[in-house]
Amino acid sequence: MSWDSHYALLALPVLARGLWITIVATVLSFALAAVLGLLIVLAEMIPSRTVRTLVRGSEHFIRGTPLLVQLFFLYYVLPYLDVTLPALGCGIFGLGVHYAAYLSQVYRAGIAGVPPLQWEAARACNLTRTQTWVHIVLPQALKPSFPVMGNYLIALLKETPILSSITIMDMMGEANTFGDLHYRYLEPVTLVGILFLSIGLLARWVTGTVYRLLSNPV
Amino acid sequence: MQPLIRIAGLSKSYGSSRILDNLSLDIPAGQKVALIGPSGSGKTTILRILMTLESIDSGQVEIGGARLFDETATGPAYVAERRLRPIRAQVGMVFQHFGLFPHLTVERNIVLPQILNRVASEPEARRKAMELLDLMGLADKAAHYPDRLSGGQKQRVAIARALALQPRVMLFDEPTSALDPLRVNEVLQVLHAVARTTDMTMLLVTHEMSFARNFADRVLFFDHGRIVEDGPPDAVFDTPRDPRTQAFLRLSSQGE
Amino acid sequence: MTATLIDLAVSMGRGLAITAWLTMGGCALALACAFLFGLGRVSERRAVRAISIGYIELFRGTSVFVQIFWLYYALPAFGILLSPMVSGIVALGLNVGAYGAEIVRSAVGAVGRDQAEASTALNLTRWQSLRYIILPQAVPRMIPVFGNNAVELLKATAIVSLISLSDITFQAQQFRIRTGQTIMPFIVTLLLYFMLYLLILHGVRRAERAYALPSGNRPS
Repeated sequence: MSWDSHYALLALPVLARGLWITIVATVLSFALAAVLGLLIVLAEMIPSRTVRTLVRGSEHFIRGTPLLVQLFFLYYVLPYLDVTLPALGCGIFGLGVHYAAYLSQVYRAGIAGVPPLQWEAARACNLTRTQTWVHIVLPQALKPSFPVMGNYLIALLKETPILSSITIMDMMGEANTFGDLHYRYLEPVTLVGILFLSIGLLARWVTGTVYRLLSNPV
Repeated sequence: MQPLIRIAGLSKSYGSSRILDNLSLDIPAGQKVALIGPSGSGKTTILRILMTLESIDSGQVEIGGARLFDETATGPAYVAERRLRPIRAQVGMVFQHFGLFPHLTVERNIVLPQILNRVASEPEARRKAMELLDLMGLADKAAHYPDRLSGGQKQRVAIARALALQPRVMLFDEPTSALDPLRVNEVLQVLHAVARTTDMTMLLVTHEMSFARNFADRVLFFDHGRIVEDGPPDAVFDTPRDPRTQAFLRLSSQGE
Repeated sequence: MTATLIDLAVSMGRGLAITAWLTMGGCALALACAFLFGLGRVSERRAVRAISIGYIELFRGTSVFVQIFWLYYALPAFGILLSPMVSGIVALGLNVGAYGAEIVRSAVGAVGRDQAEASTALNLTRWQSLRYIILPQAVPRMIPVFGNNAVELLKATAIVSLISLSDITFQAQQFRIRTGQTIMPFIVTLLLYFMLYLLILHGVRRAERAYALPSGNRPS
């Protein structure tokens, strides 16, 4: 038995349908992660030990446990708490929260990289704390974070096949179902791999270009 | 008349080293004061405290009659941010290493603080920025980012940014120390012009002795956190009374 | 109630053993691949470099999830049948090893040309220079990043439950199906993984201390 091009061709349109879900899930959960990650970092600025310990602890917990189990938890446990989310909603939420715990580290490093003199200069200009964050610190902290965030975007993309385990018909979900139907997985699963490889390369090129444009304002 | 700045019994230590030792000092409005003395003698720390950048161990500071510190169980602490902001609005500072905002253009560096402080509308702020840049001889650099400027140019932008907020007190913390020797003069000329044309109160920490003499109408010599000589420039530079001042001036004149 | 708790404890204990084996096996393979291909990446031989780059890009570019499924479901099409355990260890090890190879490469690169030149000046062979000069300085840089990778590998082991390997996650799912309970098995599962995570962090911290360079000479 070996590669069957005809069969692979049959699988392609099905995978394309799944690709759409993969992209939607990636974009939405990354957006959620980007916002939530920033909120985590800002929450840590609240001058309370309890808040800080709680935030840091949850962050560790989210980063230290498997995404798959977190998704199962959301998918199977939430209905018992009378929260009903569609599977895709669960998936996007779970992925978003998981990656927020990573992006918060990226932001934190970016903020630590802003020289103390910038804070002092902002104070000499009599800016409020909020103004200092919004106009001085965050713009400088985020710029060096962009390439690292790009890496996480690609990592998140490659993690989306896991969504198929909670019945989401992303690329992997479609490939498995198609394989189940014909008792043949080689072509659909290989194609998924090839598609990821190409999307990853494309995404790397796009994020690289975006970063170049951002770092050389025209 | 009440002095604009009143410093009373100020002390501060880093670990075992005393930076300020029970220091008291009054500065009337409009005075141009040069702070000189060896490194680590506490000159810069005074400026940083006036800019509310540095905590203190004991003492009190008033600017325009408003106290900077509250007495607490653990010693003096800056008054609440809400009360501090109107005080800070009266003070501007120029740093040794410029502190320009690298993500903003030269013009934006001067415009944004004005807008955020609500001292000017956007068009007014821009007009003010161009006026000041013109004065600094940098009108053609308005659209550049700070990293394209030389040190001397950066420092002139920093001076313009501080002036735009029209503070009553300007603090210059070694404004030429980080500059290429060839660039020092362009900044000193600007400082001199500003000093002569405004009634702003100015405190300048510097190692440029001849400039201190031209710029100031009062010179303070610091040593180990104390003021050991205080008088008009001619008196301090020509007939210093304290042996430490004599020794320091002898050494720095050799350097020049 | 007690019977259910005992049931949970027994099945979770079994799952924990499988997860631990997967993690250790995967890490061992990943470490081997990291050094093999990471050093291959900076080899003087073009073919070795090309193979290493191909391996790194292939395994970093596709998803670990896809790789596990491919080994288990697609490989049999070529007449190669791997057990779930072997599929899991091979896929996890090769995937994380590809990330590890990049770590080895950059750590070796960070040691600096002057050290390599000094080794040449002392007439050391390439192998001697690597073994006695470069690696002792590069390894301390690798450890914390390897630690992060070990954590990623641990987390990825959960995927293997989907190819019917009875690890912690699989046991939790079975328990859910058997008893209809959801909250308890998944909370226990999360806590078990978190415990393993803390264990890895602890191990990494000890390794960091064991391999630390003399002070004043720390990698910056």
